[in-house]
Amino acid sequence: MNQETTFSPAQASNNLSNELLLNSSLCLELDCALNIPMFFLLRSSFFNFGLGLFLLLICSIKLVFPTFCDGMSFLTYGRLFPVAYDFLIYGWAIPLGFALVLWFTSRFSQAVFTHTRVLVAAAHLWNAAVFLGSLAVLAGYGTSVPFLEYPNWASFLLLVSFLLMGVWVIFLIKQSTCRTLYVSQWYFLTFVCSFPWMYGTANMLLTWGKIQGSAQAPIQAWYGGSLVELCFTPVALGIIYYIIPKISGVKIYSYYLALCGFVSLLFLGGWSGLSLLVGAPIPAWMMSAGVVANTLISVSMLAVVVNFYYMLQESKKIIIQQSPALHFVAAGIIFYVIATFLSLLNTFPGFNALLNFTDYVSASLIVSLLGFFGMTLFAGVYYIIPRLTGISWFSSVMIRWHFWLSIIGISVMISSMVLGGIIEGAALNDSEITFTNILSYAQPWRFLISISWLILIVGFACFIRLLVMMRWQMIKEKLPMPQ
Amino acid sequence: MNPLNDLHFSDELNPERDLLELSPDPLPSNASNNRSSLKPIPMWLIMLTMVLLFWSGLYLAYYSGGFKANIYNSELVSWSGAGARGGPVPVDLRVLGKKVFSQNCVVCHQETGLGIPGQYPPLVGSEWALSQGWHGDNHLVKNVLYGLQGPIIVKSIPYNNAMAPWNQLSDQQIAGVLTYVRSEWGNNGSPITPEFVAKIRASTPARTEAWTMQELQAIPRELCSQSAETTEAPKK
Repeated sequence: MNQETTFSPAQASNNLSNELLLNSSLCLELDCALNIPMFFLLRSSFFNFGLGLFLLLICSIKLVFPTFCDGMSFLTYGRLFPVAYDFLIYGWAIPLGFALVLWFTSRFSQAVFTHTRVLVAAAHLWNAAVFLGSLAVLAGYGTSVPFLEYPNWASFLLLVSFLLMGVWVIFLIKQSTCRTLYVSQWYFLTFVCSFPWMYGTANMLLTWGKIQGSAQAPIQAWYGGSLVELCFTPVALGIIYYIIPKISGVKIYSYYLALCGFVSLLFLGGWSGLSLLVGAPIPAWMMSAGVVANTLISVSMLAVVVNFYYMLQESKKIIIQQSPALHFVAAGIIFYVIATFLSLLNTFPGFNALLNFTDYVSASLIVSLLGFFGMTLFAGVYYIIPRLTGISWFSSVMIRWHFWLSIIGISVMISSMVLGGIIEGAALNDSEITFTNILSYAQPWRFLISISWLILIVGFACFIRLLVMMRWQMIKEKLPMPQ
Repeated sequence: MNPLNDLHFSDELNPERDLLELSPDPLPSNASNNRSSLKPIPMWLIMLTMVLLFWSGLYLAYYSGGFKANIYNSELVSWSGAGARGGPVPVDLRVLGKKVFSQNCVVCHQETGLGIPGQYPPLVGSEWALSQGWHGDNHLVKNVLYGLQGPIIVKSIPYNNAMAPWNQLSDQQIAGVLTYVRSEWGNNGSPITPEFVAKIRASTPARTEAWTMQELQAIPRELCSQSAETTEAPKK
């Protein structure tokens, strides 16, 4: 534990009472123990995020100009698109979400994390699996099951490495001195338990061994839906339940609402994915169960959002205005409402007949992955990184750029996907219009989508610039930094 | 925007404030008592939940197909699994037939059913298709099953070409395409049932050669509607 003794910069110079000092040194100790794995996970996930955004930009350009990057088999749309999404999901969303979960859990249970090496090794294994798996997909060895494209060995490695990482969260919770769990911890525990269960089950039935054909589509839809509802949503909600009370100093508005929102999400989350299959040749009760679950899940969303709304209402305006983390949280909450609404609309058979198989479907994925989950993750990152490094963010201008470019990028993308999707859907339903014509209707919207990917990349570059500035400052002040 | 304000736009590491933030760290774990209040759930949310639950029950009752694994179209079956609209939907022979026709027959007989003058005979108003004169429904089915070759006369115009055998199609598909042909383009022949096709298929010995007009003419005329009556009559 050398680092603990050497790492005591910025916060050392305070003249607060002994009790508070004790408290602060405990926090420092907690953070120090997590320094190496946290920085590794953060760095690799930011790298993957940039890479994923860049690949998605190429994909969207290919949709507008089909001859772009023509003639290279590994850059064909069918290989590039899944790899780009896999980079976002397995390269960025899950490791970054896990890193934040780990940090918050260690804070909650006030237990010093001691198994850094195992965790870092598992994280390396995870990254290796993501990279080699993506390369294999680019080389044409993908499984062609959406979100489960990685070849068998890579998906097996992913599962093993997640188990090796996730188990420490459970150990940390066990070490906690408190008997009860805070709301955020319910959600974090859900994420840690549900991801290996879902990923393992889906792979076992779809890629490692193949179940009979008719059952494959429902299982894939179940996996896709639960990935959003039982992995991404819990992490994001847990972060919000931590950050709002923490920064603004208000209590959770209603414990009952929180409980209601959590339990309903837990019960319904796994079912909601089936609503993607409305109109598909699967037993009718599956579709109906999906429709019902997806409708009732809006209650879960409302319970949570009402809670957040009253908490933000209670907190002082000046705090909200000054805190980037709260800005990102607020944006995340708004995107959560939009995401639930979009997927609810696509559920009903009448709308589904118009909207399914158009860009609308990608809009509801993007708004929950990048809008809701992404913005909330960045809120967590803005909260954590100053505490990890011991220095504050430098440029509030850059933070604002990152925030507003992300908002603009995502909003432009969603609105053009929704509007373009409605036009495509109407045209697809008209048998007089040829498919080539339908594609030409979609063209201007897809051009806008390419531009909004570009905006997102620029916004993310602002964030990277912030990090680089921070690192530069640390080098100048000779502050120690792991690795 | 105010630049001074802007400087503060970051969750700064103000040690005092940070400790204020950090000190509740043990507290969140004390759950309900300290960090969250026990305010009741708003009444409108409870009402909304009730309404949605009621709607969900109704939806499942009407559209779940009795939770049976073999029911794919929710509209067919009521809650009990049977109901007034129970059972599989009968296949519309004309819809099926149109599909079979456009997949297999349009190459020669054309979308319009008029054929190509001098090469492929028309189906519109053809006595072959409508079973007029010496032609019977049995001849028509035999034609489709094993093909036709050599000189023939359709609407008093001679043709000399070959029609391919289609015995790889199912009884239902053949019945469908014949029903379609006999009711499209102003034709008004009676429908051909799959049972009739099955009967003809069973009674015709398998052959590799296509029929000729002479061969067919030698077989006595038979109609689908008559055979249905004769087979159903003894049952009653």
